[in-house]
Amino acid sequence: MLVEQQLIENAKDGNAAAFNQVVLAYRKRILGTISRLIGRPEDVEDVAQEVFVRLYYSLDQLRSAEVFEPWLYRLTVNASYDYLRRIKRRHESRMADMTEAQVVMADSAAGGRRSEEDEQKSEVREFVNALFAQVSEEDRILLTLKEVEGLSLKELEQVYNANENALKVRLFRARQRVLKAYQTAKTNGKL
Amino acid sequence: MTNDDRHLDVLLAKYRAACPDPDPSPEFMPKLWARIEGPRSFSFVFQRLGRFLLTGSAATCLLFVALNMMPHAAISAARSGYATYTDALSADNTLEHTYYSAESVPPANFVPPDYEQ
Repeated sequence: MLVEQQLIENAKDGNAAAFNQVVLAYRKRILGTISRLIGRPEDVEDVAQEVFVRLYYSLDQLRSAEVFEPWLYRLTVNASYDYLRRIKRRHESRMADMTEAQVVMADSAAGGRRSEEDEQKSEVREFVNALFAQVSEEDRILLTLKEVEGLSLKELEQVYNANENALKVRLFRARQRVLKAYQTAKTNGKL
Repeated sequence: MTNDDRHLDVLLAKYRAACPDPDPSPEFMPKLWARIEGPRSFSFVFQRLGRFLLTGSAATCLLFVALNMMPHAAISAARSGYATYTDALSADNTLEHTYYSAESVPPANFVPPDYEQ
């Protein structure tokens, strides 16, 4: 926990200053999780604010301060899902609006400013995003929470409101699908 | 665990390092509070409007009740000269009087029956 349980209890009781402190403690972590879940930096803050607004209005339903973090992750996942559903068509139309030349120009302009380390990071991001693009949104979000965010099975149980065995099966299948995409990419020489 | 499994783990760890948590902008908190306060201020305005309408309708009701009562009192007082309906009823014996006078005054050509025959 990034804050003391008492602070969460105070926020739950309607203390605005306590809520403010909770947001200040968690906002960076939530921004990071959202940026990895939705993959669009320009909208990360908007979705994060949505998460905290939902938190503000649902905090009184929190059973105990101990389950605060899984609760916050559940709100984060739900807000990310909502965002992804909302922008699906808008995103597709925006990408279609850009000509290939514009994309190449944008890429080369951005590439010119990158250092070698940034270049490697960018390649890793692009490759993993390409792998994740070949599986469903559900698989991608579940794997990201487990493998990238490092949530335990216990925490995932509370986030998804599912039992451990069901989650293990879902995780195994999701991982198998990503692994298959990885092997295909390796065979095609993209790695 | 296969080699590919291990490579995937390494790749995901690199991915985590390649995607650091972004710093929030300075407007993050003000915008957040504006979003929280937005619906609250709407509900506050809504509550005030509701209270105003409730007071207004209660006042209108009272006004209508008063208007409804006043003409009755004024009209009945003007017609009968009595303050209440009960007073007017108890004082009004027109019907009884009419009935009595109709029965008690015989017509001019009335011939009483001869009971002695």
